[in-house]
Amino acid sequence: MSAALVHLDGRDVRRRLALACDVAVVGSGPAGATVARHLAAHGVRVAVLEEGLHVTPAEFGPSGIRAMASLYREMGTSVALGPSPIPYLQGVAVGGTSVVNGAISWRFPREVHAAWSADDPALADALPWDALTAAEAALEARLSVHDTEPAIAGQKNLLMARGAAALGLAHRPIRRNVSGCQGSGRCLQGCPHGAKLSMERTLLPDAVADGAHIVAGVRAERVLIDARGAYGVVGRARGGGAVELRARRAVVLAASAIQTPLLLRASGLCQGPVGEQLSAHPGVSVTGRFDQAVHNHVGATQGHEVIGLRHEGLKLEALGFDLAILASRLPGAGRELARRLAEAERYAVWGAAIRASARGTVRPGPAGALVRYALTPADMRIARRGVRRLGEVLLAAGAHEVYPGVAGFDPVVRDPARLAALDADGPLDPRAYASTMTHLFGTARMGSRVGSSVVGLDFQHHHARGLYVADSSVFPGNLGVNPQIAIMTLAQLCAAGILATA
Amino acid sequence: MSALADLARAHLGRRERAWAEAIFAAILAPETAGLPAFASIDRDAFWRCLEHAPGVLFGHGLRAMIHTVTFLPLTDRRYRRPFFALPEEARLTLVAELDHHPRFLLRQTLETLKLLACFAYFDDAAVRARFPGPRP
Repeated sequence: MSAALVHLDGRDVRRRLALACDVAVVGSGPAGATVARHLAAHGVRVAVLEEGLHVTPAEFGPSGIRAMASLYREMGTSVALGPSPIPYLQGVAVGGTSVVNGAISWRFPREVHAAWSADDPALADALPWDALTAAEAALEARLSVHDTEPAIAGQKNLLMARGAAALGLAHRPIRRNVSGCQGSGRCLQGCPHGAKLSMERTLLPDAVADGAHIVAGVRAERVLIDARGAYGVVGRARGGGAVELRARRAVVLAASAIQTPLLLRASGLCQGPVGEQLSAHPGVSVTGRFDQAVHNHVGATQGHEVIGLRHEGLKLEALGFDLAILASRLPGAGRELARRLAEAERYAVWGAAIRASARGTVRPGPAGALVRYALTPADMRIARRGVRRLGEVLLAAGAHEVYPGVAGFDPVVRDPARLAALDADGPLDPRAYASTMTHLFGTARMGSRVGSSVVGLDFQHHHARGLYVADSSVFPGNLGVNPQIAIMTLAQLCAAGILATA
Repeated sequence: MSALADLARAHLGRRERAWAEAIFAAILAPETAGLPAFASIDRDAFWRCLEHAPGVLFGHGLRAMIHTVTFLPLTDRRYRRPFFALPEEARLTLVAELDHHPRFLLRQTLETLKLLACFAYFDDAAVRARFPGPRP
């Protein structure tokens, strides 16, 4: 399978190599795969440059650490700096982050589209709602998006449904892009059964079938630009050789909201708010202990969600992890942790994604990206509310105690009144909370105003003709929901625009 | 020469690994609950991952964390010895204190080392086999 999908493996490239195509796409995650598939289907000669390697299900590591070492950028140790360092996770493999995400598929929220359009009315015409929904429907069909079935949900997801129902909160099984899921709980390590319909199993093979070439193991370093515009990309192969990919028609950056602004800067394109306005969905989690076995690591990784709190900027999700992550979220160290480890099957960890208002920056640093991000006081109030809501749902689901994990507050809570007290008077210092950041946006935002955006309404860079940005960098803000389908939808519009410029 | 080379590369040296493993073993203390002891598990793959995959900054940060916890007890009149030279009971007391320490940096250090300890422990196939779980 590897040989069929990947045209060239950068580990084998030890000398300078020159390649040519019509359109060069940097990044093979959801955005890059969508652009490649759409263009290839219309007869365009596409080459996709991917920094990571093609890792097949048989090669996915059996443990959390091995999966992180082979599939995550910097082994998942990337951190946004601020008052409290926040880890952020990105996949680096053929298929990008879709290889290691929870396969959660949300449509573009209507209220977000309305807010973007209100801020920049020209966006309403550039991203017509009807076109978005049509593209979403087609992508959902290709990715077999459907509700998580109870048969493979596992206890953690079923318990969240019970807790939310008891509290009268709107909830539902998560819609995921999977086929034949066995509930192995290993989405975040790469599905060992190939049931997750990530990009290397769907859109990238589609693109290859239509003639696209995938070059893996080559890190793009710079876009080639002259007076006429972008005409290629240069990169460095894992084998040490330099790779120059000439593109006759266009260069499309789809390398993520972290890597894309770095590439733009490395290419001399520092105009506008490139690397500014980073937005995200930080998350907090709460652990609960049940009397019965939950087996948090078994069942659909993320199979149920509470959607009735989105107006508060919160979306709650049941989380399934590798045992190592679950163990690290159990309270205590030393004897206390050991005692809890011995009954690890009784614990569940649920998370809340926060639609944060904070804006950060991405700059080149001494060893990769230097990301700065600080949650605002308003964000911290939402995070604190998130801990409360997670605890309440856990208790309503039958947990007899929960562990908020907030420094300076009760380590163990059995009464919802204490959670309300946390929400009212608990700390707002981000250092009191353990959070992780996913879903990054906005570092090369799209807009009609040149000074306040990086790309125009056609996804083309304001100052480099033929250079397009197709990933979540172009989003003017965050969504409040899992963005994979929205990213792919906008990428499809980007690809359609490139075709139209022929 | 090799110690200097390790410092420059941000990899932990052999002695630093031993210090780290002493801390990991105390954080998990699995044998106190009847689980396989940390010293009994295979840690080779874990260390290989840690040498090759993370960024350079993380490597230096990890070294700083290991050194902090290793030598912190020297500043405490109850201990006056580095972590690896403490009796087991004192090690367990110290990691439990760091887990709730009022200083953010020390709390964060313990949290990060706890995560790594868990990664190392659950990389071992025999340990994972202790937590099978039913098929859904």
